[in-house]
Amino acid sequence: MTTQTRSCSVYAAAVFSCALLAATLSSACDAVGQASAAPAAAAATSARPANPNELVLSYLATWNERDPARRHALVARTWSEAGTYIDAHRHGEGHDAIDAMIRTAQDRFPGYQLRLVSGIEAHHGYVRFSWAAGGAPGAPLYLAGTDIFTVAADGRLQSVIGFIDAAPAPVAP
Amino acid sequence: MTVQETVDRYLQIWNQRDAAARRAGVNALFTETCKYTDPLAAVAGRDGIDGFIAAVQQQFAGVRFVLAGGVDSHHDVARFTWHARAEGRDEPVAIGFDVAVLDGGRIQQVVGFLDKAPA
Repeated sequence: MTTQTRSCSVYAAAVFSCALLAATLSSACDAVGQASAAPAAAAATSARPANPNELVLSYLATWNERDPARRHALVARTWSEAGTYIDAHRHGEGHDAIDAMIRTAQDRFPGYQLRLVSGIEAHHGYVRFSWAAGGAPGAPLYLAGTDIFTVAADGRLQSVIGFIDAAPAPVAP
Repeated sequence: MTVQETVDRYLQIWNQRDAAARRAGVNALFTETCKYTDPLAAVAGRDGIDGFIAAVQQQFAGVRFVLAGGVDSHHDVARFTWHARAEGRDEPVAIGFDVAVLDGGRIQQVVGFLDKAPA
């Protein structure tokens, strides 16, 4: 991946890292002041992603949101009503099914947070990026994947196809 | 036909420079409503895909497309990386990452990304 295409994405990735940081800080403030959490969550989840980069950030935030109401709001912000997700192990169609699918994955991997580990490439309504999770104290397993988006006309997700780049080796019985 | 065989045949079509044989390959491998999209092109239908492959072959004479690594598939989707190789060049002249959506053993859609764009 030492390529021109990837290099061009570096600047963009840096910009998005700042956005990620801002999102993280926003979450931290919400946690400190419970009284202000509801309005802040509403603001964070109401506006639809304006471009592929915001869509990827919204998508990763959805996988990382453990509060049920906020997670469902993020699912609705990120996927269109008929949106889909499929990878080798799980699939979902529509907001409720995708929300339940993510909750199940979160229950299996408590403490894991997905992070962006590549540039975000977009063309003709398709998006590619890679993510990783774990490899840290409290979340020791290293997980990684590459996801392909098809973006719906309203800027939300029509479909996500996920591929696994790294997964824990099977444990011998 | 396994997914691996489908991808092998897909790359064979990119390397098939006999127009009639290439078109027969496209007809056999792609659905009628197929779509192909990469950063530089968006075409649809067997005519569109065959015409695009012909144009790429004309622009990159002597280049061969080979599978790099394995084919990773689940459900009806597959991903793989290809290298475009030119005579006398050690490094690939282009590297791509394709996702193929299959339908009944045929290719319904290809979405491609370039990891190394041709100079």
